[in-house]
Amino acid sequence: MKKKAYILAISLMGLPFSGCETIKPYEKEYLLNPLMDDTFVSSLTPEFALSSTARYEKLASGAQGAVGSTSCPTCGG
Amino acid sequence: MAIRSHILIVLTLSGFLKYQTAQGHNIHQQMSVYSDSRGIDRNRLKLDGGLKFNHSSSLLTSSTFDISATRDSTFDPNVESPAEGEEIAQRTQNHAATVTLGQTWKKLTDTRVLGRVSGDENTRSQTFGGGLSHWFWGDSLQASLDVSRTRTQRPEIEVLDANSDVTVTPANYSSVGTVASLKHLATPTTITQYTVAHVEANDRPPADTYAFNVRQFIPPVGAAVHGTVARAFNRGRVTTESTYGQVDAWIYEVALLKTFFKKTHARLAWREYREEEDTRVDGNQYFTGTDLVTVNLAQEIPAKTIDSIRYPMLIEAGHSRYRTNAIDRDNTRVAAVSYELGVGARF
Repeated sequence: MKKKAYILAISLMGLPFSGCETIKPYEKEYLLNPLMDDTFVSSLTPEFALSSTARYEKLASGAQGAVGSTSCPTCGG
Repeated sequence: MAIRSHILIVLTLSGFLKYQTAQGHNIHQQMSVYSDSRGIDRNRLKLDGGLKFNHSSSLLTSSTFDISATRDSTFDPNVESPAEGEEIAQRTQNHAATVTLGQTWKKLTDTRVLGRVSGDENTRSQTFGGGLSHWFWGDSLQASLDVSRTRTQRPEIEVLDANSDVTVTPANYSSVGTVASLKHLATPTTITQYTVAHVEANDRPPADTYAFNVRQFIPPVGAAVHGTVARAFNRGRVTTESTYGQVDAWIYEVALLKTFFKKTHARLAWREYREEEDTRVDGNQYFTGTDLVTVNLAQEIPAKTIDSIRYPMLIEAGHSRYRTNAIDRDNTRVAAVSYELGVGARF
């Protein structure tokens, strides 16, 4: 019974990845475009506007860590 | 005049570095202004720079050192009164500095640590954090984990609640946060990212945020569409150490990015924030909604475009308009505008 549970758990863990496609290096041309690159997109992101308006949005400061504008979840707005 | 002097500062500093090996060092300066209908004005000057070194070691691929400093001046005529007998400044000037060290190991693993200090006439704050990322599954999946802790020393603010309870925000505030994300190179033109964040603070129940982001490149038009949906919760027992009740929110953003003439990049975005609050005292529900429309431009200037430009430069400009589309419990309606201008160089 325990063995079946382990097999089932491992199978379920692989489920999300069964549809994953491995992108070959030569296929990354568009993914490396500045419009898709984190470093360049950050120069086009209105970080100052978001930090200024966060005073009116109680959950915005903490959410910035999740919506990708910062990797520091407690740095705030 | 101010813009010309800032560009000259960047060019002069780039002259001192002309004998360094070109490994991706950069310097950047940005000026920003903000003004809203509640009388709040803010202006910020930010200077940051970074050094990047490539290594020949088989273990350590590259390392980075980034530092940024900001001077932030805010005038707020609506500041809450502190405890009786104390004054709190309406105009504050905040100075902040952030240092980030990053390393890339065997090309696939990134580690980073950051430290940040800031302070003004009323508050002091310190933040420390670190993070780890790794590419796997044929370099198509990147898992990241970042943790940070912030401590803030601030004056106690007393506010009378609806039932005449006195709420007092603690003078010593601390929070610990964790962000975990999974970035997936889903197709040759699509990147998706799944993110979960958890923040615990000493004056509020824990806050959780779940976000999904997708970036889709459209080759025929040389443009990209970015979309984000996030759901945030901050519910649980709220004590008199907090001035607002239980809240949850939806955040949506859609952005269109386009490159013109190979060197000019533009981003037009619309963001909506919808919040619902249940007050601590009587459980009344209040709704807040905001719209933020932003347009940002980045112009690449290759080296030698004109004789005085020795290194590639980037000039950025941005404008945003912000509106509240639903009134919160304080009957607040906000209209705001902001402008940003930046210049940077890469060596």
